[in-house]
Amino acid sequence: MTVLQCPEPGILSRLLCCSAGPKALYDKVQAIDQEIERYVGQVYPASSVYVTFETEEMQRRVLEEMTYPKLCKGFVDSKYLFDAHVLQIDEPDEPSSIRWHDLDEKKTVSC
Amino acid sequence: MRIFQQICTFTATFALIFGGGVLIAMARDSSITLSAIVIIILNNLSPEAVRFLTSFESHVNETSYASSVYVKVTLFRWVNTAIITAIITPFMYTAQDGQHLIEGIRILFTAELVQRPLVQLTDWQGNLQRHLFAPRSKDQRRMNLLFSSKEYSIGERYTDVTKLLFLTCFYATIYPAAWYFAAATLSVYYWVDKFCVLRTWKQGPKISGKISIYSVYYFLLCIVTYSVMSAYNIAGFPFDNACETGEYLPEYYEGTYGSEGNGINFTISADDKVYKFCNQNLFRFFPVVFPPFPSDQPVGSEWMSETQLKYLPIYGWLCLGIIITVSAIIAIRLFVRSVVPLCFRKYKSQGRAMEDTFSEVDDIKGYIPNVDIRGYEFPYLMCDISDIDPELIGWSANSTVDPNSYNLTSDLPQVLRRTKSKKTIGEENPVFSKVMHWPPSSETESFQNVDMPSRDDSMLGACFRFVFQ
Repeated sequence: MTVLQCPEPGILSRLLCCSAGPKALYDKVQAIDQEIERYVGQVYPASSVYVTFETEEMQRRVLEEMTYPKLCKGFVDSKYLFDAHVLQIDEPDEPSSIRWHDLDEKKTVSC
Repeated sequence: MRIFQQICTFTATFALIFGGGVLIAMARDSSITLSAIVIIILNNLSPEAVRFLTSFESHVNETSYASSVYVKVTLFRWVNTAIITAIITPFMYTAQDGQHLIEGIRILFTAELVQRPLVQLTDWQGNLQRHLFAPRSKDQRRMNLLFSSKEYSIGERYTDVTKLLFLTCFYATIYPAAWYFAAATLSVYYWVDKFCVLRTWKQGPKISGKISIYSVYYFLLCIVTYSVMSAYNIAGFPFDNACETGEYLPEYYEGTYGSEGNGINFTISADDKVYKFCNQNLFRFFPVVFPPFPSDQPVGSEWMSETQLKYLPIYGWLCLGIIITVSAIIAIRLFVRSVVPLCFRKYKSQGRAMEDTFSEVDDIKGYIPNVDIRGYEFPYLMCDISDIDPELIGWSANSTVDPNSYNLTSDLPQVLRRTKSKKTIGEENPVFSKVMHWPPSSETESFQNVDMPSRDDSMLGACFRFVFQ
């Protein structure tokens, strides 16, 4: 509540720095809190997994064995299936390159 | 959704390009120098504007984001630097002396050679931040931020190169000095960029080689541009829309006209021939003329010299050949990229696998979910890191900063408390991603006794490394 006791920013601060007042910030935080609360408790099935191998040889073996031509996915060896699903395996970018906040999936994939 | 976002941002980019074009045209009405200054300013502002637009797009990795920025900035700079200038310049001003097209191109090339290296080397923004704003910061966090250097983008560096190459290919036929300017500018760029990458800029995300693959298409387009512009420029020379009729002027026109006072003074003699208007701009012929050949000149309005008649067919056929070859290369690459994975395995290992194991490599980063929040020095973690080696986070602050203080998962119980929620977080409904680490037993071995190669830290050694590494 101490935030609400802060003085409102002046016109210059509002115009030049896009400063919001303490009341606006407080309301925004409350709205975000409510949004977060809505998402908590829901079950999110995993749609992608990042795996790091101890050696490059291991990584290559997995990629060579488990990447299939798109038209041949029906003929995949059953030992490579996960819960009867064909895993789509790709070599990802470096960890510093992943934009984690943009990894949202389409409804059809996430459900 | 991602496609819709990209359509919106590309539309906004086209609007920006159009707005920039209008500004350049308005400046061109005033003077050619002013229009060159406007182009330079727009070129400098375009990466910031495009980055702002692209921030509304969703990209799974930085390579995809950087590629999107690269395409837009390249489009913006190619159109505003080369194409708009050609469109707004009247055809007859193409090769004239004075404040016309050639002069405008010369100013642009000079600016490319001088302006960007100067701005980059002086780093005026960084110096202002470090010396003026940082000492006046309200707290240590904000001061640290002001001391952090600029992050470089490989896509932006590529756009500088492709823009210069495109400008050169576009105008090299009517302004051959462009090749020398381009060579000098690229040499300067190389050394200035090398200095900044090694000494002043912060390392950006490690993106894959896709941008260099895209660049191949841009370089191919530059070759196509050069072949097309060469053919049309050779056909359009001398750009004066005047054709000889073969007749001589009647005697009663002979004499001196004009006055010294207004700067117009010319003499008509008995040897002067009569000229008539003829459109030499084959670009604007209707129906479209492609590739241009001497036979495309209207009957009775031929303007081409013997040299043009001799060389234009060669340029025309070469232009056609280059376009067919480049189209075939692009078609084959697209075919290989989209159709081949349907029938063949996409992955193919290249080279020999490295023998170093993941655990042995120092300073290696793991796939730890995190998000950059503006105004904070380190990215915020979005997972529980209690079960992993802290080195995998990829950054380490001084001992006063605990990585857990940069962990968003710690905020969740507080949020639930604030909202008076009765929901709980458990193993069965984790809100954040899970990160696990199973280090091999051999990792416990110490690497401290390994001999490291010694490094010459003297000034001479530093200079040697800068030049030769």
